[in-house]
Amino acid sequence: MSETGISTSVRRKEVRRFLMGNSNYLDNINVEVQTYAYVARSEHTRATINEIDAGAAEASDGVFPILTGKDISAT
Amino acid sequence: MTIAVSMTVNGKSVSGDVEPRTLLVQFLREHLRMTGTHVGCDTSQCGACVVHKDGQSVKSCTILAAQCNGADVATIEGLADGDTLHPMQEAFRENHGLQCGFCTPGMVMSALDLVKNNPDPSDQEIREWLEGNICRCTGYHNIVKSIKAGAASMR
Repeated sequence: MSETGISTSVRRKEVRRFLMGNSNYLDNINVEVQTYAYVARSEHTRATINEIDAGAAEASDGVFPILTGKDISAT
Repeated sequence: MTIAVSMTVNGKSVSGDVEPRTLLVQFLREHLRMTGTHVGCDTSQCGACVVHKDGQSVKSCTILAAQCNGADVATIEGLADGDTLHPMQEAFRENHGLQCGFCTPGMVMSALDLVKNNPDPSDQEIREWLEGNICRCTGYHNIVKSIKAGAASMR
């Protein structure tokens, strides 16, 4: 490679970790207190939400916490 | 219910108690914390999870850990010799055979199985072999080039 890198094929420096299996993609992170988020979507294409009953989810083992629109409501 | 499995991974004996439904890739990534092997699709299409079982490439998302009991498993983490890349890894580096790098472990492991049986593959043979490995950066041109170069330096 020339001194400036101009008009030459420049080798990437970061590829070694990808080639050796040392990449750090999101799903490779594994820490003690890690939890996974799951987005529950409506089963209806078009409908009005009157209420959300998260009772069954709340009663499930290892589920924490359950957030609905109420939790992020600006009003 | 759990079952005991033991196997050799990259020359090292490992064992663990897993649910019968545990996939080999889950055993590698979650039990052994070896995250070099990736899961791209979970449906046997993308090939990011390719490892070798008893010298043959397999999609580790499509085989149970229990089926690998007693097997000799090789993953991307075991290829390099310390800091020295395996010739196939070096060829990918030299030929820009990767962009985001997500499919790379599967590409390299798959390529090695091809070259083992066909030391001098043509472009066409490489492309056909890679039917089960998807690169969403669409870097196939340089992947084929890399595998050709890697095969040449391994001959």
